[in-house]
Amino acid sequence: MKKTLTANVSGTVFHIEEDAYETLHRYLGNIRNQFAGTDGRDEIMADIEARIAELFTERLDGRRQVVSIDDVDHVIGIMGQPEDFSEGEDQEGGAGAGGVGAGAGSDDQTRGRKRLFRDPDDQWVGGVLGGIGAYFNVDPLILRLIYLVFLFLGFGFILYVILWIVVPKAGTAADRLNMRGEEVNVENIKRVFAEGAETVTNEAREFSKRAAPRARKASSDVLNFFGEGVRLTLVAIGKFIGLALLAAGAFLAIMLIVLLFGKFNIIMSDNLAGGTTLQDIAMLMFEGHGQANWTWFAIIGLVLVPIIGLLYGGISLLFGVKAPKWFGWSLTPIWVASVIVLAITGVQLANQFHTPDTITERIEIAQPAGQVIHIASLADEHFAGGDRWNELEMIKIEGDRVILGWPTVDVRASADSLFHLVIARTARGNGPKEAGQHAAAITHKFEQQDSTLLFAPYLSFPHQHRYRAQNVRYIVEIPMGKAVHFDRGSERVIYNIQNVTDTYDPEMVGRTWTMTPSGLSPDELPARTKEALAPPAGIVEHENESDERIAATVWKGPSRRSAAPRRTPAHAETISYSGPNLLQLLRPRI
Amino acid sequence: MKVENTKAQMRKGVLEYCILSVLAQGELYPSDIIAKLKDAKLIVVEGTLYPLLTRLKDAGLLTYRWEESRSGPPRKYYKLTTVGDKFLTELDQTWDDLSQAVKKTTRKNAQR
Repeated sequence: MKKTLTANVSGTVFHIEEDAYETLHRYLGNIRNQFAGTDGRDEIMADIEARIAELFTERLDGRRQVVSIDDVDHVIGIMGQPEDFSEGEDQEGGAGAGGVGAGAGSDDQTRGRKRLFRDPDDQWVGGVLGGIGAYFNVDPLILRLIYLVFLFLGFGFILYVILWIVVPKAGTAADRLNMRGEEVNVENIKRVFAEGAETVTNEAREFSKRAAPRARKASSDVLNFFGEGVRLTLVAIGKFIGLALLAAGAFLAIMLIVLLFGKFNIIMSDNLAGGTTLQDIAMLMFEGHGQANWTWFAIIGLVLVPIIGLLYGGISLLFGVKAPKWFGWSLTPIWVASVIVLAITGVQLANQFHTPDTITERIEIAQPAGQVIHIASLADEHFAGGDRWNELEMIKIEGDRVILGWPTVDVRASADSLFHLVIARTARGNGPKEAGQHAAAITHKFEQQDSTLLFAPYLSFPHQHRYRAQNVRYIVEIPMGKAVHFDRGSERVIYNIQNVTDTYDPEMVGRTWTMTPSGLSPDELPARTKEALAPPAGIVEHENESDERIAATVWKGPSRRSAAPRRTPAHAETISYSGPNLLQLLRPRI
Repeated sequence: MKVENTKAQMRKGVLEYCILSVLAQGELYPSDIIAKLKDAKLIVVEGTLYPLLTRLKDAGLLTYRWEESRSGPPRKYYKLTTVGDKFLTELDQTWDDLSQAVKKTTRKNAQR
């Protein structure tokens, strides 16, 4: 049993078997291509179809009802192959070059729309660059050399994998022709076969299946000429957006890779303590490698999925390729899983920081001979040159010890007539017991030389305890009427010391401060303090002047005063503009 | 240079001349023309004829009328126009001259 179709050939209706129909359809299509660009093609086609109808009628002879593949082959035998028709035609080169002639005068309906494919005949890895080379008509070798540069930049690998997934392989001869932007017709498919690149079966058959809807589409395109214009504009916009998405994705990918593998940690810090990497610091947070790895993959998934989405969106808009369905389906679960994993490890981590504990020791120090005690810093053996205010630069791992450069020294009033030193070691843990253990394991260092207290600007704790907010705070207690002097270098350790003049820590250094009932009071008031304390009003006033000028021209107010109330937005802008300066001034005090 | 190309070039001119000659004998529809040309082994496949007919018609040498057929679609019956008649007369003359010339030269060659 065979399926039959009904075909109208030149006004006569025939029942025709499916394979016979396809052969005939392909045959007529080839003839059409052969006469592409010839005047009176439609008439020739009509004549030929009429003749074919006649031949069918003769052959069926009223006895049979269905046109079979044999009938079609017979009729084609009588009519001859399209390339033989050119024998009597004016075509250049005559019969011998029929195929090429047809290719040159190609027809809109079948001209290959150029598409991006992976080239299986020219591949090193996945054929991606071979395909891109065919698309842009560039030697893939050049592209490969350029790609190597991208590979070293880092994101080339991700890009390649995405392209590999997204771009289809040119598996069929028609794909291969599309890849090079050549016309898809039987001649060219034959040629691809002849090039030895092909083991595909039923290629021409598939082509004929696809040719029919394409022909319909083309005719409606002609009708919608303006629609086509709009479409092209949209396509151009789409390509532009695609390029933007691709650029954004590539940029983010670079950022991610720099962050993950870069020796130059441009995001967080540019000057980590020697030998310590961001990964080491991150590992300090986690209980074990398992937890760290889970978090690690979750973060990568969380960031990578949107990047892949951006890159894929860009590629699909630029080159009009679509990924297989599983691609999109798998990305979403990966992202959701990343969020869940991150939430779980986040909660676990938060638990590790749940309970704080502080071990406080009150140390009776040798009382200084005079009225003044000196505060100084021991040599910074670990973090010399680091920025104290960047915590990440103040972390170092040495063997099984973690060293932090965060100890602080504060000053407050003594309850009696003696100088005291209070040392508070703080840490956190999942319970009071663990927090206590963490705090007790912290080691620190201070010395007293006569009337000088020297504090080491670092502390250490065992690596196996992990980072659990360990820190050491020294509090020097000054009796009423006695004084403290901050020696040069003590700015490395003193932190947020309250005083009656609201002087910043660095400004307190090199001077003597007496404890009074209202707080630490400077022995003499240097002029610099006032300057530093003055609000940045000067900047604001200056900006106001220029604003007024602009406001006067815009509002045409009768006087400067009338324009003033309307300046509110510009005024606000001015303040926000000078924001960084304010912050910089305040920062050491925080 | 391929012999097929030369053959095709030679046959091309002759084919037009022969179609016109065949039609000079009366009104015919393509199948009749094909039968005659096939008899003379001038053409092998029928498809060759249709573009030629269309071209000759477009050049004003031929004209056609439709005629209903008992066994299939309506048929086009072609005949010569007056222009076609004149064209054919000229071609007849040219053909005579050519065949004379060819005979002369080829015989000479054969004698050598």
